[in-house]
Amino acid sequence: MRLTYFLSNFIPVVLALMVIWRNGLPLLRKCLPILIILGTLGVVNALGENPALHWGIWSYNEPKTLGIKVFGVFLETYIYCFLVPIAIGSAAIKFADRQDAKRKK
Amino acid sequence: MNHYTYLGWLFALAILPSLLVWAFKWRQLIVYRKVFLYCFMGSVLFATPWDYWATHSWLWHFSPDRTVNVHFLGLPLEEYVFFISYTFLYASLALVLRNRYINGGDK
Repeated sequence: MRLTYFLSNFIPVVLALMVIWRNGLPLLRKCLPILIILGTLGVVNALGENPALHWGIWSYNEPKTLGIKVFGVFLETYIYCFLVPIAIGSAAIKFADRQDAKRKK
Repeated sequence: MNHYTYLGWLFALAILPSLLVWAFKWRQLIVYRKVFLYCFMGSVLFATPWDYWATHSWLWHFSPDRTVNVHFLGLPLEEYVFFISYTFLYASLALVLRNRYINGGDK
């Protein structure tokens, strides 16, 4: 199925984001500019997949992808590389905020 | 190209940038070592079954010629380095940016 790679990235990462954002919405909304910067850096970092594919470090089963490549990188990879730093950054900010709150007590 | 190609790729794209962030901001970041530990645990627990499924259902495939060929729970060792190094990079950047954004600079 052409959507396999897209769905296998999108569904787990969005579920993870929902879990992370569940109890920290006001804080993470305040930190949205940070998360957008992280997502953008992730998209830039996604370009590194081009040499990885070229050197054959890993390869995709192309019939399971949308088949759209931008700068030699699958479109789905950019989506994954935008969302994952946001999820990691959200978790780190949330945990750090809890730690700071405990320290202040 | 050899068995260390994937590790070299990880070093260039995730480990080296993380080390650069830590070289300049380690005082700010070291106090959050527990935060990093929780993030590492979360990313490995979350990503391992997902990556296992994707690898074993042939969504993607790792070349045995470009990896060190050490496997753990059905995944190449480099995949765990991938989870941890990227988590390290993005968590470090998030905490540095948070400090700048919320506290207006260095502590």
